[in-house]
Amino acid sequence: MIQAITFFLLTIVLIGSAICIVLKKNLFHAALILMLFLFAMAAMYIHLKAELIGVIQVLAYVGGVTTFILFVIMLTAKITDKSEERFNKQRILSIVVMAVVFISFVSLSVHLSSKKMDYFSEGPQTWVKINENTIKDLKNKITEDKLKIIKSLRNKEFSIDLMTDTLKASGFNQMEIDIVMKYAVTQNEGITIIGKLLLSDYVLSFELISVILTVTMIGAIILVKKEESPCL
Amino acid sequence: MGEYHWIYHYVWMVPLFPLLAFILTLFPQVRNIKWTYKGAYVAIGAMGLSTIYSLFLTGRVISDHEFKPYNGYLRWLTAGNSSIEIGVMVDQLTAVMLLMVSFVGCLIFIYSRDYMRHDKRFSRFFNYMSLFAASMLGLIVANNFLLLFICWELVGLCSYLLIGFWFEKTSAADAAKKAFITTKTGDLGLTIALMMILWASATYGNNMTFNFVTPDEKGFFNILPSVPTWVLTMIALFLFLGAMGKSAQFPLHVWLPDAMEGPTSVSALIHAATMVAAGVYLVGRCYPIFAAAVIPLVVVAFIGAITAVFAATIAVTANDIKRVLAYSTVSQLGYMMLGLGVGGYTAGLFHLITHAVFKALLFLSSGSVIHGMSGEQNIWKMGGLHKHMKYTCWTFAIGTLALIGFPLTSGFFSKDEILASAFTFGEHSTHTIPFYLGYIPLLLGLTGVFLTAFYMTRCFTLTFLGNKVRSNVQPQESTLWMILPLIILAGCALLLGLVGIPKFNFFHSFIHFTRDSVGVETALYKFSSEQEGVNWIIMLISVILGFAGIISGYAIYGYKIQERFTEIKNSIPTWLRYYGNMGFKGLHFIVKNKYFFDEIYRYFVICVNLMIAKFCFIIDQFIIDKFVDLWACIMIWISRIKRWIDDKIIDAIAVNGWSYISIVSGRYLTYLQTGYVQQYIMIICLGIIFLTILGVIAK
Amino acid sequence: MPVIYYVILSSLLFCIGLYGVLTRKNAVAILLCIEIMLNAANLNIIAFSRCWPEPARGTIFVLFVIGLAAAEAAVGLAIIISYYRKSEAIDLDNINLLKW
Repeated sequence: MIQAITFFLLTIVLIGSAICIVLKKNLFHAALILMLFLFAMAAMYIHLKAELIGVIQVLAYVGGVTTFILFVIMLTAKITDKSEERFNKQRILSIVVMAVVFISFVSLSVHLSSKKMDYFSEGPQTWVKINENTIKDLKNKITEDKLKIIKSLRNKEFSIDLMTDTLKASGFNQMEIDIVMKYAVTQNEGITIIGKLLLSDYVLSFELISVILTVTMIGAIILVKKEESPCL
Repeated sequence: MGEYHWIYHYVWMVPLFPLLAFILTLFPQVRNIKWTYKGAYVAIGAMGLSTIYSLFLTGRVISDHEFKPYNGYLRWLTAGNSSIEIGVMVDQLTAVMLLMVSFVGCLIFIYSRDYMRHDKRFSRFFNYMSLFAASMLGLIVANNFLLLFICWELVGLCSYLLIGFWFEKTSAADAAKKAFITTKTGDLGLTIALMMILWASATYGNNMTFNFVTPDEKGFFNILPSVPTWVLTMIALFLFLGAMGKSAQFPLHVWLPDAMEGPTSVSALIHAATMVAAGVYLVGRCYPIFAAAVIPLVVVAFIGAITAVFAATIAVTANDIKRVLAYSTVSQLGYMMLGLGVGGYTAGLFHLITHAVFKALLFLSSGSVIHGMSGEQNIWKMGGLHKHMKYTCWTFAIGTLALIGFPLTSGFFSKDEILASAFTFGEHSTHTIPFYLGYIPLLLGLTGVFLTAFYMTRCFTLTFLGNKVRSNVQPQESTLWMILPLIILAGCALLLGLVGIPKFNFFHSFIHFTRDSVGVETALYKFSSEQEGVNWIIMLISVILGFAGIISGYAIYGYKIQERFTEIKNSIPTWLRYYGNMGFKGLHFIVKNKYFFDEIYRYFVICVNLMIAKFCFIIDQFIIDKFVDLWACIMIWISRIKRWIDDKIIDAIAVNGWSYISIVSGRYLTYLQTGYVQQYIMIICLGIIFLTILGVIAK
Repeated sequence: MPVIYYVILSSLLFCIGLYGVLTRKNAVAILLCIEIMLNAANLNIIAFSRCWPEPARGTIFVLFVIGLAAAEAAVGLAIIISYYRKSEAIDLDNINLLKW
């Protein structure tokens, strides 16, 4: 319920700010609305329980990129000039293209979603897992036979609903379910796991992105370097 | 082989000696350097050796009681089972011919050493003469047709070379060509005969062979009984065609008078004694073929008789001393053929031998006369030479008497035997040849006797008798080298007759070909006209005719006769004199121009040939060449069309077209690069849409 | 929320951004719209990542995307600044030096 309201609110903010960015004549305003957009996007990430990305979005995008864009706008654009045309001659064709692309995306995804696919029919979930720590924590808190059932469920990925349903079906009452849920590992998107993955499975990309960032830094500096005048 | 004396085994050396002389005279060391006459000595030496060898060979042949012909051969060409062999053969005919040819040749070579001494091509003369002698001797000893044919052609070649020896004279070069081509026309017949022999021996015998006769009964003569008569007739007639060419019989006689353009030694050796005798020798050698088929012999006899009289008539009007002797040779050759044809095998061959001797004698002495008269050959410009050239005069006289058939000379016996055979032929043939036509050879022969006496007396009278020379030349006698052969030949001319005296006809019994010679029973035995006795009547008639000829000849052409003749002329009535004069002049005109034979040949043979050649040339030039040109034009046009196609179509489409497309498309596609980034992004998006649509459609 | 909602949302944002990229004349405005597009893509990835029981694949992807977006924004702005130094306008209609 809350999720739905959050989602729709954020949807409206996102779409509204995007349209404003695209259509606004004043570039400065567009940049500021970009900040709003990015904040809303971060909120959307958090709504999707990817908190890390939300935080990083705020830090990197809002704090970094938008500031940088604002600087450049102030350096280069003629903000006060209101007589400039916003759009070029590709206006109409762009609308057509945009509509076609959107319709194709939507139809494709609707078509695909009509097929029965694993995991996608329910939408973003929280996933819980029962591992050894959970069992250790739950040792004293629930009865032995329930523990046995829980042991049989360990190291399997479950969504919350599914877990609840499974436990209910195994004869757990709500209080026990809450206890289990408290100690079940829900950190699927947590920074721990991301850190672990970055340095094990995705270490190459990690290193490469660092190289790219270095190169970008150097490149940007060189690009904006002023030509040295012969006489100093 | 063992029973043969060694002299038979080496008989191939007889042609070899002149051949070595031929090769030796090719080398420059033997050439005429500063008149050293080395070539002459080499040639004379070679011929001398051949003469000595032949002399011993003949002696051995005579003395061998149980003589069987020697036949030695070696395999030359082999093809599968059959092979062609060449080899030598010795029988009585071979022996006497060898002796005659080498002896006369040797004497003529001795004579030529002085006759040709001022010639600048002295050694070459002896070169050619040696080659000729080698091939003639080879022809005689050949034991098969192939070797005979090879030597036949070689002899013809040497005749050409020697007649045209002084080729700077156009007339000599033309005469050489004429001789060669005319004899070649006869050789065509010989070639056909050879082919037929090969075929006949393959068809009717067991294997193909050219051999005359072989000990193992495989030669051509051995298989004669099994060959049908028409084949033999054809072979014999074609053989006689070859003999006609070489021996200057009636239609092909035209080359012999012109052959006098060559040096006199050449005329003596080749055109009197030996080469022209080759034809007679061929008929004699192949006599079994002729005898088995009787018709060719009759043809031979008639053509011989016609030739004898025909040539004698022309000789009456000849003014060149050598022409007279040339026509005389033709006439005597006719006699030889006549003799062979009527069945007088021995007679014809005996006449061949004696004629060789006295005709060589006559030619050599006429050469001496020409030499002494510094090149003058017209008898009307000579006269009274008996005072200046005694030896020549006496030898010429002896030769003349022998030629005429004066009693007790060699010519008398041989000619008489021919006439006797002719008479017997006439007698025996009354039941086969109708209307007494079988006597025609005899009658023509007798006519020839009269004519021979007439023209030889005329020639002798005009040349030697008289008081003074009719031209301004001072004649001189010839040197010893030239006189000596004359004397020797004169002696032989007188004495050779003794060999063939009737009643004691040694020659006859020597050469008489029967089964001994070839081992074959022939039809001739039924046909033979060999005389065992003497036919006194014919002998008397011929002697009377001879004397008549001598007397009339001397009467008409002799000294101081002209005045008496004018008296006789005036006593004839005018009309008779007028018509007689006209007729006589007309006849004289025809005969003097050789019955226009040369002109006939020129217009009917040579011109036709040239017209055909020109016609073919025109066809080739204008039709066939035009086809060739047409093809060439077509090819050129095709290549032009292809070039056009290649240039305009293929190059335009495949080569230039692509480049054009590239350039033009490039020119227009450049406009896509507007430089507007947003347009590029637009194009990307349009591309995405396009691909999506494609994907949807494909689904 | 069914994931299809997130897909539609992200595609809508993407198309809006696309419109802006194709249409706006100012270079910096185009960069803003590019940021919109990138964020829309990030949203899509995160939404799908959440549907999956495996931990944090999409998150890491998005991490890199954010990093790359920042880098690309930096370089693009650097280019714009240097172009502004050369000629006073950054109106994309006039930047056509690569024209044929």
